[in-house]
Amino acid sequence: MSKHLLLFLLLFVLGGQALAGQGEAPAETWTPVRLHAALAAMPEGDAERGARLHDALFCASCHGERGESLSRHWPALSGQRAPYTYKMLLDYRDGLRHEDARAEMMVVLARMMSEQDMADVAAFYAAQPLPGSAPLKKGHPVNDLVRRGDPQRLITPCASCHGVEGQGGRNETPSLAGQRPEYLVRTLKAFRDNTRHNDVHQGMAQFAWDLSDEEIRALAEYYAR
Amino acid sequence: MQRRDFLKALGAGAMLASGLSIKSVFANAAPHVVIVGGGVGGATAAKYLKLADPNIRVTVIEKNPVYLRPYGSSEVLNDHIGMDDLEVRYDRLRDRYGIEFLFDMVTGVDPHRRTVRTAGGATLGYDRMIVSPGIQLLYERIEGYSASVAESRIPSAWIPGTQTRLLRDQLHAMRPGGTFVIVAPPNPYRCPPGPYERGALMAEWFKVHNPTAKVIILDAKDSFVPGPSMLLGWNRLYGYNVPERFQEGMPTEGEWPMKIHDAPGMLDWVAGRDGGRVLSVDPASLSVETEAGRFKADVLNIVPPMVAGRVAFELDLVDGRGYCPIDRRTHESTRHPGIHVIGDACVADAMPKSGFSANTQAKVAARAVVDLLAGRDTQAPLWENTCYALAGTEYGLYVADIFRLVDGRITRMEGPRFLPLDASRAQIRIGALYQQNWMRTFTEDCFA
Repeated sequence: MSKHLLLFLLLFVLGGQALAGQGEAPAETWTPVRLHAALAAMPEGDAERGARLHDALFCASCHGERGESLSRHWPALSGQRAPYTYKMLLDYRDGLRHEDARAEMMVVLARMMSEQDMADVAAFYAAQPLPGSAPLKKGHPVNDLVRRGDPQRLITPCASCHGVEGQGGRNETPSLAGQRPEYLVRTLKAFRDNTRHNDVHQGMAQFAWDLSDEEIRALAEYYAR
Repeated sequence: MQRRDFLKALGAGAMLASGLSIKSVFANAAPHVVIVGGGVGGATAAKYLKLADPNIRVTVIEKNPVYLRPYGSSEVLNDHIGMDDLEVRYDRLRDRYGIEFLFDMVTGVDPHRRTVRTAGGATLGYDRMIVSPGIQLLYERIEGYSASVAESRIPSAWIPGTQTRLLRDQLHAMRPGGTFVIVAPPNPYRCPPGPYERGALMAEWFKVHNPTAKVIILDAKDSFVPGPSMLLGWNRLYGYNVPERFQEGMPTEGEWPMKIHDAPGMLDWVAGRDGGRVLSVDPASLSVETEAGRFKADVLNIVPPMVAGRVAFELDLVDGRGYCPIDRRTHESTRHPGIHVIGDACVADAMPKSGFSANTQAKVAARAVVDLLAGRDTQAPLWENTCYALAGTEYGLYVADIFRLVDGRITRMEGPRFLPLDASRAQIRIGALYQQNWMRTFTEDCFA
């Protein structure tokens, strides 16, 4: 465990240097302290009210009636961990998440929502079943990457944060199981190419920087439905 | 042996011989489909033919090397976009799908020999032809109006081009407190919400840049689509008083009620029943004679009656009403076999003349053409249409429909169609986002 911690600390430092070279850092990025405070202040979610908001805000037209995702263009949100959904809504609202033109829709929506609304919608999604699971897949080209990581490239195993079956981890670490592969590919590339930077100290991005297109496709396929 | 039977035999043989290794039934004898008109309908048909089977040779004959998209072109008037933003190029269709383009004008067709001639002197053979000619405006139907008046003084700006820029410049230079008069066209016409959206967008612009200006829409019709939701938007944004006959179902309390304004705002709509029908126009004084009297404009925009585009007449595809009758199942002309007509120019019953309609008709026609070329039975078509419209840049509306073939007619399926009148502010805002996103994704679907 302490080895992991060291690895993290080392990467945070390296990550920070990498970011210094980036052009458009968002106004106020997350720090562990700020994120902890934001999640501690997250209102208690009401899934029933969330269901009504889900209708009223037209979430279903893209994400599906229960967040199951209707097309490759939009991610599945059913079964997603509430702190993750809540944090994403905050990030859209505050301009921290804006990786491509798709994000514009969410920016406008999130700006019309109160934090209570966000927590309620997050609770609604969390109350739905996950769209799939990603158990051990021996012999899969990225099974080792998912389960053991790659010490050569300082990549920790995906499963160590995202769960043994991709069901999500603690706090805001999202579930990946059953996600749209096209969305996972877009997301990993956005992290790798530094167009998405709403993670705490590149907590996710640093593991994507060294991934090849082929690995990204395989990882998406590993976690997809 | 008929060409069709030959293809059928060839198709069946190829499928038997090759099993799954060759998907195309045309691997050995590529049929040629000529598409006349590179607008929304023609471009979509070309792309979807190639998506269905890349072995089909597809040639688009279009007079302009750069297309100006008509959908959303009123947004040039309020500077929401520039003229450049209307430009669409054909590079992607050519490079990505191998579609051939001939920038030329069609002058005639021989439906028996299946050849088409162009002004540039080319003669092309085709196995099937898809014609997507759009519309032409009948300026002379309004006394005092003409194409030359439209180009110089009273633009229609309904087909984007120099008139769009002229109208934009006139509106921006209009004197403070001036009156902008829009004459809406009679049915049927391209883009049902268009004239009303244009009035709304300019009212919004005037509120900032010319707050004492007026916008008057003169109309021979008593209603339009999406009437009540647009009228409610006008009421909320521009102080328009909704006529009583449209008030049913409008919210009178809650988050954003309809109001009755003691002093009505800058935007007014004179319906046919109120005398809005235009009798004549006087270009010199920019005034319009209507059944309700004379209206003097500072900027005058007339959208005249319209019929199928020139080439539809050239190819003898139109009926007495100026549009092209078709077999709805395949969009094949009932006047000339082998030629399919799509888009604003075809008679499509319940479908509006819109870009979205042309796009979905193109997909239906492309699929029918592939089936016919392969000697297969054609499949039951399904069409859809959504007209997005703005009552303001952040106030979106829409009407969404699905159509099926019922008794040989394109028939609208029953169901909810409109953004509800009690829609929340959030839903209305999202409606405007949908409209903006649609502009981008729709252009990609047609042209990339």
